[in-house]
Amino acid sequence: MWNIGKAVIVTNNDWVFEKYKTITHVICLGTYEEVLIKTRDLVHNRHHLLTHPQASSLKPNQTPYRSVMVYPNAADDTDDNMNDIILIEKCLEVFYQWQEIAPAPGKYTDNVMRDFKVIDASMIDSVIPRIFI
Amino acid sequence: MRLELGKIEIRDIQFADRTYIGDHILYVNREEIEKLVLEDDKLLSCRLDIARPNEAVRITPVKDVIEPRVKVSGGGEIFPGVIGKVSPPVGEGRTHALDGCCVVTVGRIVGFQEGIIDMSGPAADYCPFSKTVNLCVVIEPKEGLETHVYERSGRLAGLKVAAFLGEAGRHVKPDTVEVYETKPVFKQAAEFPDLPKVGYVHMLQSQGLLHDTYYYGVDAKQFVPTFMYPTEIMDGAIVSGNCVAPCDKVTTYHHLHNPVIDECYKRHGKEINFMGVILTNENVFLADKERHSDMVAKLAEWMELDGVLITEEGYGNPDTDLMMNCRKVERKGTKVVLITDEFPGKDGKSQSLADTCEEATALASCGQGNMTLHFPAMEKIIGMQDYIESQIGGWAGCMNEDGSFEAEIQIIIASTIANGFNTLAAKGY
Repeated sequence: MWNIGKAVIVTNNDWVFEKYKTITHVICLGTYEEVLIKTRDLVHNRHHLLTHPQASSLKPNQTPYRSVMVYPNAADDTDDNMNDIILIEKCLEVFYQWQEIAPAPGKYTDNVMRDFKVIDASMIDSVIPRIFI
Repeated sequence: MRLELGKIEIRDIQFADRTYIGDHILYVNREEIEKLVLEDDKLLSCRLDIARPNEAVRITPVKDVIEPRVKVSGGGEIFPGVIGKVSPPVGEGRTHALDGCCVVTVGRIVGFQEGIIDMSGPAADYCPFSKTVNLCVVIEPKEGLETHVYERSGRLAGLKVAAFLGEAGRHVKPDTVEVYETKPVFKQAAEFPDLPKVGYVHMLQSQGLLHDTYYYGVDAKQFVPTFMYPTEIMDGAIVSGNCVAPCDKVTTYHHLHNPVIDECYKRHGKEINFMGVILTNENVFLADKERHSDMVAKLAEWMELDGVLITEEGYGNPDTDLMMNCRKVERKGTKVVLITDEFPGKDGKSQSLADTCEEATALASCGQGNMTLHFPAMEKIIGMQDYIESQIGGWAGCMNEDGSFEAEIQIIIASTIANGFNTLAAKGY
């Protein structure tokens, strides 16, 4: 059903970029917000979401890292992607809502940053075997 | 399945030269427990401490909380597939619980997700483990371990200690014995034909590394939705392995004491016919979400349920599973009530869930996690306060020099737990 080489990972986590850049297409950006915006652009441009853009249950103002996988619509796919569009738009709305509650901290200690990277990468790690089926 | 749950009331824990229960006191041989924990060569040190209600004590960072239990008869062993043998299954016969005491595993797993238990002061009102006598197992990993390797060591340490202490209750006469029974689906349906058939859709946290739950030892993201007898859960067939936000972390204690199961059994045969548990998970891969919510709806239809209660664990991604389950179960003709906590901002005005659907018309709220609270300095800290500012609910600069701090109640273990094992709620006016 899926071809891993066609999947696109949008991320700002350099661990994810380094691990998967030779397996599939990885777009590496600077911030959590940029990842969501790029994902939204892709979803509006005939890509389905493969992973939930808020995976991990970490609030958007807590983790600095976010990785999302999308997949291009098949040529004969007539789906208007509306479910994916609603989901990613909702995630952006929730992101801004949490920034109003309290902005994301600019800097954590190195070991905390590392833990955030580990957890974000694990979301992608757990999905890769599902796509290789 | 029919389970007799015998509760042995424990009023205090004291260190002694052997481990046993006498006159409602759990005596613990400290060296024996420390040796048991340090059988794991990934752990560098283990220190035991006791925290009692009303003491000026703060426990943090808390990984898991577990009630000691033992299988006395009926087959199977406590925490099957993790500590006990995976087969035969649990949920039948007799189990003894050490009621009123807990094992609390303490130590940094990830710097931002473990929470706080205050044994007194304002935060104690929000935490069920401020009212139990707690044996704190403070562990420290060896240098250089991967986080998930250490998480496993911490998880197993707590479960091992709880199973070991549970053995002390094997031959003790319980103070109370409660009996729970759920029959096979057709027999159960026939038992109370005039009562509405009610099921419980139990969503387990299963999003990935450090966000896992285990079912008979299986990582919950690897199974497809299935049926469970509720009594299996009372015998430790589900254990926590996750490090999500402290406020809605479903600890292993909460699995043993699932309030939805408890309440459904109280009304079983009177107001409802409690048919059992549909177990499902919360995955990252959207195809899994669609597939598993379809299966949940199919099971609800197959059991001919009139109504289900659904609980989740976590925020964001699980809200999507919650809504998918709600929508699909409702469309099969089964009424749904959701139970969850909320994050609507400090003023309570923002939308409180990350996803919604039009079928979600009945929801019981377990309170909101964004409220802030002053946490006074405590005389004693079990663990360390080094991570308060990066723990969920804290923020840079929230810590004061005297050891007090301000934080959202998200930082308190189980303060807004999304299955209702707490005291917070929301009311409509």
